[in-house]
Amino acid sequence: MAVPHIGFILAAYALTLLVLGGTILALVYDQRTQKKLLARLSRNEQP
Amino acid sequence: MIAYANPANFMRLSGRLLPWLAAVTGLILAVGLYLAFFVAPPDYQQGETVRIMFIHVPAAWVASFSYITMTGAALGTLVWRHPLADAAQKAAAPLGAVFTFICLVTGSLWGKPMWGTYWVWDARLTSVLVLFLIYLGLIGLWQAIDEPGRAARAAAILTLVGVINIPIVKFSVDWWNTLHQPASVFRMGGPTMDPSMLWPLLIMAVGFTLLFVTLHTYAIRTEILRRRARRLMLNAAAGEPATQFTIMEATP
Repeated sequence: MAVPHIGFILAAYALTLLVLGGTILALVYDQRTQKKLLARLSRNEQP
Repeated sequence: MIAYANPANFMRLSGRLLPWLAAVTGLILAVGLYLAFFVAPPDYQQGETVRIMFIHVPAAWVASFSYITMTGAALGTLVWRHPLADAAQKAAAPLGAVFTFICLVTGSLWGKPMWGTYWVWDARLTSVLVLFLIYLGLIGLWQAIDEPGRAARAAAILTLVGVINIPIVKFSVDWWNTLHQPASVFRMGGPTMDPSMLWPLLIMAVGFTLLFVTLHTYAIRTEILRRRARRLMLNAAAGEPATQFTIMEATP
């Protein structure tokens, strides 16, 4: 039996997953970028 | 407590805590989703559509919780001028915007089959949209001012002005005649919801809150790294000698 409004339910969960997944990826990418930058700057500062 | 507000101590402690926090968050969200889909019954009026509630309501709760967190950090910035408070403020704004966006969109997708419309300019929906716009304004403000200390003070003032919207969001359904239903969980006289739906909802709310805490902690760490990199770049530009900082200080 078809579930009424299943498209709305799936869209809500899919969108939440997509937005939260994208946020997590963006946060991880940002932190990696900062760590790489810090490592490079620290190397440059070594006498 | 004050000792952990030191950025170096915060990095050490949060580095140890974060994997556990992430694991507990994942576990609670998995249990919550299982209960929401396989244990909670369909609503007698809304049918299966009520399952949207298990993400919409926790997202709405975290949208406000994030702002309250940011308000506490704003006070830390203005009263104690603490750099960790600045970082906590800055890190919370995009996360608050994300959860508010999820709240608005899932609410819209729930509203269409139940109310017959994706959007209506009632007090609850409009005040949540205003909350989303305040988050965007704060993100813009952080981007617009280069010097982190000045940006933090400006953002803190805007945050404290905007906090007036939080009770408006909460009580809008009581103060005005709205299409949005009144509170059914946090209300005088206790929840009006059946326990078979209430428990999955509360577990999802705990899961979303822990997800926010995990992501916020992670984002604060990134912000501390960004400030250290900025300091090193400024030192390099000024031709000053190397600082005591090493990469080991920044990473657990």
